[in-house]
Amino acid sequence: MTNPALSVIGLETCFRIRGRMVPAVSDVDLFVDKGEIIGLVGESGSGKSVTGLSIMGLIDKPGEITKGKILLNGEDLVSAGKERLRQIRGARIAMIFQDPMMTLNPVLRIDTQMMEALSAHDSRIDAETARTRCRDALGQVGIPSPEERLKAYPHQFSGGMRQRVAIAIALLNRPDIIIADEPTTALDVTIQGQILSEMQKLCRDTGAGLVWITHDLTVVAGLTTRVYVMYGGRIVELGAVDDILDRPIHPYTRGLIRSVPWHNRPGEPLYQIPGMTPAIDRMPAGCRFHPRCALATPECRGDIPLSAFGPGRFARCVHPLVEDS
Amino acid sequence: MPTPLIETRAVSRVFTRKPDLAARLANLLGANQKDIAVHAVDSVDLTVHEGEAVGLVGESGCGKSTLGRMIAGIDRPTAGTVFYRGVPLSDLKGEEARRAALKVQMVFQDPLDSLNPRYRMGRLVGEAPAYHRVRPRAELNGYIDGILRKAGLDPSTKDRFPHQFSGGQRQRIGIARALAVEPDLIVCDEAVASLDVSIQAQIINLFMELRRDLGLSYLFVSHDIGVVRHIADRVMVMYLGRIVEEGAVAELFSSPNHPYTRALLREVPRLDRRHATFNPVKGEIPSPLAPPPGCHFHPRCPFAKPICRELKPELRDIGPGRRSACHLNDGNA
Repeated sequence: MTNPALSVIGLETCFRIRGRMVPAVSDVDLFVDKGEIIGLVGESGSGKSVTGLSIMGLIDKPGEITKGKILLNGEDLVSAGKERLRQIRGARIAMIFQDPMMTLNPVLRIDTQMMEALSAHDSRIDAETARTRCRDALGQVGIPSPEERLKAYPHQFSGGMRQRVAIAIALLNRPDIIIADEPTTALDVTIQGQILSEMQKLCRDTGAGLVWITHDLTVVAGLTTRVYVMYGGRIVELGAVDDILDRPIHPYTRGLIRSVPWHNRPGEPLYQIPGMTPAIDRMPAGCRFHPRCALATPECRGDIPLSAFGPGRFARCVHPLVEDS
Repeated sequence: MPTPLIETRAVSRVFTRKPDLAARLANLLGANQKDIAVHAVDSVDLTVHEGEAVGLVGESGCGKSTLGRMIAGIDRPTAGTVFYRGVPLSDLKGEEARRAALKVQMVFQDPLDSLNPRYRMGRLVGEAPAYHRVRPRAELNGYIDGILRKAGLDPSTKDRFPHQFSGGQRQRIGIARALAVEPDLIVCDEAVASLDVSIQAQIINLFMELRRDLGLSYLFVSHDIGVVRHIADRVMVMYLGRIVEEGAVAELFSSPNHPYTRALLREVPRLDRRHATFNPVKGEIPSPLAPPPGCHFHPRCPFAKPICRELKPELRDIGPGRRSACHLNDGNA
């Protein structure tokens, strides 16, 4: 295997809760190749967003990365200094959030904000070049008449257009990796379709690797090539998207797939996973899913490693759903 | 045909903003500035029969929530009439109006926004039935406990505040509160949209169970086509304030007629659509402040003809129980 653009090795990120350091994610291994789109899927509290923020170096006190490495083109970001991180962030690695207003300053024009993102990483860039690049970036994400739109303020854009601006800013410095945290969740389906199509094209054209963080398996199905499923702060299963969706190994993944309404017969009771996701400071021992799992046995309370089930196919389960061959 | 439980006839809702002082002064000086008007709902006919579950789908700004709110009596139409069991709601007075209002309840998207954070759960659910004397005072406690159990809540948690419940349980509180006044119809406005997939399945199952056990009817307002397809018998598709297509779930989803419905269904991400090359609808949803003339969808429609730009298409029968508002069906386009 060639060196992946991004590899996360044994990541653990803790938060202080009632005086105790509690891991929000632990034992996370993840890699993304150039131009590859991976899905990081989980429900609220699964640690998917914390993983994304850890990669970006955006974990604030009282949170802290306590273990592991994050290698971007071979360089460790966890041990990198503040100044180095500032250079990398926004240039080599960029993030898109669910709410574009989190990224955009409401009182500055789009061109001001975009050119700032360029000059922050290249102090010698001249205004003319910067302007051209900003205009091209807006055009690239499908904003009509980018020249005029550069002079607009964020509130003059619709929700979908604002998200495009946020994506354009993320792309400005041609990053190697883009972390996208639920960027289409708040958008309408027809607009979501447009953005997914742009993202696919952009990754193909620019060679950027994309980590698509979402709770929505159906989006992952169309967009990604590989999927990581998270539950209770750990990766419970990973593999090619077809394997994950057609032949899930972990009972949690199967439960998630079965509860999608479109895949149940209309009017019949939906498959439901009993119980609810555990709180971060009250994680069950062993497999975090065992209290909700129909297959659970006492063994599930022990330490369960991520084991291989084929090339690129891993799951963390002592009762894997595979037929013996 | 029996009298429908709820019927709206040519119901519209226009929101207007009165001109501010500066605009009024400008008008005095001869500038002719008009009131800004949004036609949120534009002459909609909708029926829900006893025991039926109707889905209302559409994207943001299409007026589906406003329509739901008018049916639930939270908002009033600016034109047209809402009938409850054949009686116009606007004709009812006093006690009768109060009774009819109770029969249609609403469940909202975000339970934290719709539950008073300072009320304990028992009071949240019990206040309305106590005030409206749904049961004699002596039986009230037992009645509330029964409702809570039906909604999947433990009556022993009655003393907790909303923030002490999880998202799924809070939605159950919202449902229990609606059930407590013995409604005929529940209007669910994006009631499962903010829940996690596994919790969403639990709540959808609860809605279906309640329908079976209590004979409830639903108006399910949602942008989530998968959820509506699962729970509803009949669907209405809205675009910019108008119904563009309506039909039984199975037929409408298997053979959509209106170009907007077709585009919408094509865009729905599904588990069996892998490595998709997305072929999205072009363009933005136009602002309801300035909807395009003729068919509202024509600027985004790949089949638009000159007539679509000029004439509003009527919602016409295109088969048993199927209606669609598209000029292409008339053959005169």
